[in-house]
Amino acid sequence: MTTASKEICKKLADKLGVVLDFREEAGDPWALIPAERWKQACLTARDEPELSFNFLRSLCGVDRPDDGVIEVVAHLFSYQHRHALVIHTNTDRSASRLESVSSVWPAAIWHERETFDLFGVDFTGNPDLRRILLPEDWVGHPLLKDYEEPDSYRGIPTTRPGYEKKKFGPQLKKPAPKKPAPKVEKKPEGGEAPKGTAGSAEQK
Amino acid sequence: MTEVLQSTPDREELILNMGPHHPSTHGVLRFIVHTDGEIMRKAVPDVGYLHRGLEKIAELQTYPGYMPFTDRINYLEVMFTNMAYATAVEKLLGTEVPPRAEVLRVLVCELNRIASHQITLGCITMDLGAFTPFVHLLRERERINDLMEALCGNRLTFNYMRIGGVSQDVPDEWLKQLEAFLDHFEPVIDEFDSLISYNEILIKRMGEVAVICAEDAVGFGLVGPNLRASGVDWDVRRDLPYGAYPQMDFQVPVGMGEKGTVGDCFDRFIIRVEEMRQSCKILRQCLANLPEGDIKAKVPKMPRPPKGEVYSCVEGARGELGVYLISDGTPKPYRLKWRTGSFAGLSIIEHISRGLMIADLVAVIATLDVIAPEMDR
Amino acid sequence: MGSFSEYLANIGRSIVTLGDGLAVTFSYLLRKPFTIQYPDRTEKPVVAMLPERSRGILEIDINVCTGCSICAKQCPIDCIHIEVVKDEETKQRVLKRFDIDVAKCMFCGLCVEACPVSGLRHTHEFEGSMSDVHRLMLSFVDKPQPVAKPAKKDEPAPETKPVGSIVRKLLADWWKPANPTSGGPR
Ligand code: SF4
Ligand code: SF4
Repeated sequence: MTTASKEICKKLADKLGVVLDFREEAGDPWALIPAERWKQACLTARDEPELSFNFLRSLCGVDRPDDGVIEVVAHLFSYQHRHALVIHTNTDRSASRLESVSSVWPAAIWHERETFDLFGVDFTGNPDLRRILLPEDWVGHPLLKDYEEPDSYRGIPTTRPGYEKKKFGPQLKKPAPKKPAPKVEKKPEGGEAPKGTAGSAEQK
Repeated sequence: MTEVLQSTPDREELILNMGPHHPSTHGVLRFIVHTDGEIMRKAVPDVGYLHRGLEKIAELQTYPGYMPFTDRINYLEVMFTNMAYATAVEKLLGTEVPPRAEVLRVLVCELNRIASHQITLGCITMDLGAFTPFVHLLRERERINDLMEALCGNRLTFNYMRIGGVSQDVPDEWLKQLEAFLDHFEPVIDEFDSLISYNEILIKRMGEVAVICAEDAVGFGLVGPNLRASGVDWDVRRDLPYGAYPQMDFQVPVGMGEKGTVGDCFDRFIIRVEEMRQSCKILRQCLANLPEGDIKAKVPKMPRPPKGEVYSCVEGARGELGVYLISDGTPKPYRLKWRTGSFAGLSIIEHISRGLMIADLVAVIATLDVIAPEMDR
Repeated sequence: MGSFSEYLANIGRSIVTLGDGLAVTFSYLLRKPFTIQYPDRTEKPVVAMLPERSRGILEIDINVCTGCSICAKQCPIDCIHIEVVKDEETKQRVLKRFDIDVAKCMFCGLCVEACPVSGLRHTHEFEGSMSDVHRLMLSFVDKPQPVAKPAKKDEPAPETKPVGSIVRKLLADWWKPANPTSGGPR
């Protein structure tokens, strides 16, 4: 899978005319697409006969507060060639915005709605960008690592009365001391969770 | 349940609310139906009533500790969600699953597939007005539940698989009971066919209704039986084999347009009947070649997969069920995302509902086999 | 004319296929019923009919528990509460509290798998309705008692009480108000 992925990635890069950042770690390799070429890359991936990725398996977000980005990840698959490709792109965490690919794969409409709902990524060009899983008046985007669960929603407490509060707190790690710590001022006051427990000390 | 939200006499459009507790919407699921008389202009699904934040929970649990939560993704597909999650973690860890565990996994998955299709088929007929077949299939599912309970201790939330294998070996006599069940069940499928499958009224309700062409099916990301009903010959078990499936010999039914056009509701219905037969076939092969040996590979108690990400999919009863898992080297997943068939299945409804009768919407929901907990997660 | 004959043919097919289906339905009139009437018309109590591995309400035999807290660490939702203190006089570790919150428990069995001495186990009990949700915090320790020593290799495993006997006693109190001393959620 790895070499195949690399070749596919190279083909895509050639067609786009850019050099793609190709990463291999444990598990699946992936390619990093610059955000401004995102839609173009998706279109190419679908339309190029050698690639023909006609099936969008999933599109989701990943919050990386340490890097100050929200990644958007798309898993593509081609039924003709039976090959898969994982592409990532980075969007700015404070003003997350990306061009929608809903015109490339209609399946993306709902996947983007979900990503918008849970991460707050604004997909420009999506015809129906509303919250999908959470109620329309929900505050915040729960899959962000610094999300704090509210005490109540419309007067309904989020903890059962009588039980100790075990809320989802922010899951931020402390900024690494070596790094110039880009986002310290943005961290909410609950961010002092001990390092290494991923901030969920309340959970265990 | 169904109430008028708004009516605009000038455009002759009536906006109806259907659900979220409607007998024919599967689970808590709501539709906003724009109608012109009996004809729908569009039906907009409104989901999220069963959102339990299972992806967020994953980030707070250890890898083995998340396994019981996967049971709750979809109450009809528990073995598949278990398996998708287990294989994802195993891929990251690089664990080899012992052969006996692989075959046991296939065995319980196929048993689960039969149980899931039984509910689906029963619900399709019930939504279209025939109650008896539902009870028949529920009776057969009860036998499967009993088998599952004897195997892993619970009737719905099995929590049977573990990272690296399965939790328990089969109890004595269990394989014999399974064989007895298969001997009993295979004729019941034929009986079901004569009971309802080729009933003229059912055919008239489903044939030619809500045809989904192959292009749409792929574009909207339909998977599994819904995709195959549209004529796309694709099955993860056969085409991207995993586990013990390469050893198994089975056919993949594809929509033929038997009573109408390829991709209509009837195709989606009859494919599931055929899949139950194929599952029986796989089960018999599993019984015949169940290897001896370990049922669980050696995995650390608190696994810390190396940094990286993986997408792992299995062919569930509702098609490709994927887990996208990112590890950052700690004992807890960094991010976990479920890719489920129902989510994609429901997203196509707004597109295909145009021009259908209101009564057909029920047939569409039922045959697309959408399960509310699975899409809301 | 063609459409009219088609109309008649439709009706004919409907009747024939309906007849097929009804024949199957009628055949079930002559078969043994599959359902049983719950709860009081079964031959045995339902609890006795469940398979061996059935995962019901948890119980703990504190006479074999070593107080190692592995089970509490394994539980994904923290429904086991164990308190072990060291007795100043006898220098023994004393089990002060062993509560299981059955209201939260999802019967997944991870804790049972982890227990090294099989002191924690699933019973077959499942009818655990309570008049007060806080009563579902089952307390297994009445008065503090020293923890058991893990059995040596050659020693026989210590005897355990029959499965289900402990929890049945607790569940029999379902009508009482919540126990104020259990230390659980109030
Ligand atoms: S069965 Fe599962 S949820 Fe219940 S106490 Fe044990 S580990 Fe916790
Ligand atoms: S029940 Fe078992 S695992 Fe739990 S503290 Fe006692 S001995 Fe340890």
